Amino acid sequence: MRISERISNPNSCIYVLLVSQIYNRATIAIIATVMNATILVFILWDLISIRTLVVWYILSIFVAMIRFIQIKKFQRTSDYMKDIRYWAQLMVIGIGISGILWGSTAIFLFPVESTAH
Amino acid sequence: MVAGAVGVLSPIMTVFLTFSIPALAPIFIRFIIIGDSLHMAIGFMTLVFAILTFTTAKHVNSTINELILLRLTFEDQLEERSAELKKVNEQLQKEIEERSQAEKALRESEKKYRRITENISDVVWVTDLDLKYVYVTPSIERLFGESVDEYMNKTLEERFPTDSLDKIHSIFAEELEKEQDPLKDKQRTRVIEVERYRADGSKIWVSMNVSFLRDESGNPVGIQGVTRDVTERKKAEEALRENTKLLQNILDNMHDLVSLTDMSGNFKFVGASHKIIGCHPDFLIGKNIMEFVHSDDLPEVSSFFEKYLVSQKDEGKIEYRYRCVDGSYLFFETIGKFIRDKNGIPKEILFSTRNITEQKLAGKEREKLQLQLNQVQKVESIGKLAGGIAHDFNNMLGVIVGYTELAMEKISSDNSLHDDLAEILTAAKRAADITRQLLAFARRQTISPIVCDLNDVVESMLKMLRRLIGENIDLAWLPESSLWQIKIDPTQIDQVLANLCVNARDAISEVGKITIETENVTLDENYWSGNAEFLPGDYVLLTVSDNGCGMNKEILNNIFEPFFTTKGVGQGTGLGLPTVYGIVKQNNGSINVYSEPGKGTTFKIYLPRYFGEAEGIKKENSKEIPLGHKETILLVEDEPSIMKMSKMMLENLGYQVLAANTPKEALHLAKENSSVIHLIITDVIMPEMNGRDLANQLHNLCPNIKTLFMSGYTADVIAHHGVLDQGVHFIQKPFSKKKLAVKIREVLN
Repeated sequence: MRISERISNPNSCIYVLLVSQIYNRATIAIIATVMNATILVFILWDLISIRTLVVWYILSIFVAMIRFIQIKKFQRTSDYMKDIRYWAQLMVIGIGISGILWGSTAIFLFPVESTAH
Repeated sequence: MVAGAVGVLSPIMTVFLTFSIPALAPIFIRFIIIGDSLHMAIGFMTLVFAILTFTTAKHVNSTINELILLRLTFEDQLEERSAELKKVNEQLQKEIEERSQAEKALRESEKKYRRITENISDVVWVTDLDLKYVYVTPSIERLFGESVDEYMNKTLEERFPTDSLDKIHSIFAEELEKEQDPLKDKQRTRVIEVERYRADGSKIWVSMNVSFLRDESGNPVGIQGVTRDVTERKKAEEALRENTKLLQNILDNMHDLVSLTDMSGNFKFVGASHKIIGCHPDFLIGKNIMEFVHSDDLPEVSSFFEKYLVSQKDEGKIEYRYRCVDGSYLFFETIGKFIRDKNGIPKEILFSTRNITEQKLAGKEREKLQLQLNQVQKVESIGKLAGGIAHDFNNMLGVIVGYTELAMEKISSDNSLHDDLAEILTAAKRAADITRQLLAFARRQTISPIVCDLNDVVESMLKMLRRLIGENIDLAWLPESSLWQIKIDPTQIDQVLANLCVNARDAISEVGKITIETENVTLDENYWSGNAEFLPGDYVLLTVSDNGCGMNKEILNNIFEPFFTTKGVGQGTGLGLPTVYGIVKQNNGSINVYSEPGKGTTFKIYLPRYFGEAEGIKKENSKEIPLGHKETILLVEDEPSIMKMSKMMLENLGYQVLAANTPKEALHLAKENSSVIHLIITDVIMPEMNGRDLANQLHNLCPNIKTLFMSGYTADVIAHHGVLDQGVHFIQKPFSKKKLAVKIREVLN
């Protein structure tokens, strides 16, 4: 099997390695997400509606928590190799939702009046 | 966040893009939408940032992937190498283990063999081709009583006696010569048994199993060998040889024949004593014992073997005839004994055979002698019986015959009483014949043999014999021209011929032929070997043969038995042939009879040749009764009736008679009349004194007196075994007047 195939092939061990690599680093990313979200809410506290900020923050924290649970579940599962495709899809969905939440800040948390912010 | 995501999500670009596109795209779009230059600038800067971030992420992704690939490749290679290394390592471990085990085994083996070589009683040694020892096991000390060093320093001459050394050198030279042969067996060994010295100088026998020690090319570089002390074995062999020799000597010299056969009876060992059958014992090896058994004995021997083998008794005995090489047979008595293997199963038979031929022949001879003894005893008892009655019986017959004759003289032949008296006379004579035949059979008949020509005797009988056998039967007479002389009482030949011819006549039913022939025969020892009763020498053979009905074997075996007869009641007395037999035996002759039913009978009578002149036969053919001339006869007879009758006869014959009833009275009369007595006629058996003693005493008184003995039975007083002494005159009672007259004239003249 060629290397590229081995990487993209969900049945290959390299793919499993990459997925598990992402899962292992995701905890730091979640922590960074929570910290960044908190900093963002704090910076925009006076500029954006509190209500919008709280909803976005709660959603962000919620998604982070779901992902965190997902990561722990992955790490506790010894037989994840058998369902690596499933775990990869969960990861993509979690990451995607997280990206959407951060992209939504340009819509809902964008203070047009303050160029600095 | 997107910049941070590069470090976290870039390993999988899909995941990175899933996060970064939704996160950056709205921001870029928002800045563009706002539309002022600042926001536009920030928007495009965001785009540049996004591009850089994607590029970086891609680069990181590629790097990670490359690293992963590199790592994986390295891991694969490492794994492969590790696997190879592991495999090699395992193999190496295995080899090390094997080598270790091999070394251990080698060490154990070496230790074991060293222990063996050091502890075995044999000596293992190695020499170079100059026969110099290079290695010797310590067992040398036990075997030869010297240490390895002492032994190694000795020369061959110090080790071996000269003859042993010569033998070793000779064998060594032979083996070296064999080495020149390209087809030589390189593994060959040679066993050398020689004497050698021990350390104390004593000699022992050793067996050396030697072979060449070779290099890789197979060329001999030395000699290796194992030496064993075989002194005890040699002594045992010597003892065995001695024993074998002793056994062989015993077997060779023992009377019995010893042999060993397998269970089928094939000879495996045959003792030297078997040479008595006329061959070397080895000739019999492999042959079957049955081949030599007489065909008549085969069923019995086979049956014995079958029973013996089936019953598996340890011993059995059988007698049989064994064929010699020359075809003759010996009587053997064989005892067989099983030789069993360690499981007790018989595997061979040991025969001990005794030649019992002499015993058997002696037994047969004994049987024959017993038969002869029985015959002699029978003859003796019949003789005693006949002798016992003959005296008185003949006296009585003498009275009857005498008085009958006297009575017949007194009456005319025309008188009817004359025939009656003739019958009485005939009966009395027949009675006298029976007594005479009994005496003849018992060989106690008193005879007076003379030297004569048998042809003359037979010829004188022919006329009478022809009358006897009748006209229907032809009598052929075939005399030998120059027949030897015999000595016999011719009256006995008369008796023999009469009896044989009467029997021949009775054997011929109607017309037939009787042949009488004589011839000279000389019979040697070969002829007599089968006939113990015969003696070799010259004989005159009288053969009487007929073509009558013949006899079967059973009758033939009994024809000489007294009173045995095949004739009807009143036709035969059963004394004819016994009389013939007795007469022949009394004259030292022999008789053979050949007969077969329907083929006639031949009697061959062998009478011993007499070397002397013939005396001639005195014939009394005259019908006239010679009368006396008033001579005085002293008649002595204890039986009054005989005395009276005899006195009357003598007086009728013209003699003067002085009668005495006892010998004492006779002596008395002789003293008174010694000058006038011409003849004494005396009975032989009398009380007080027998006739011979009386005659002797009377001769003392009257030296010129003549004596005529008369008796019914002489009891060897005047004869020996029936044969009258020389010069003795005798007349057998009963006698006729004529016979008495003739006899008196014969004595007086």
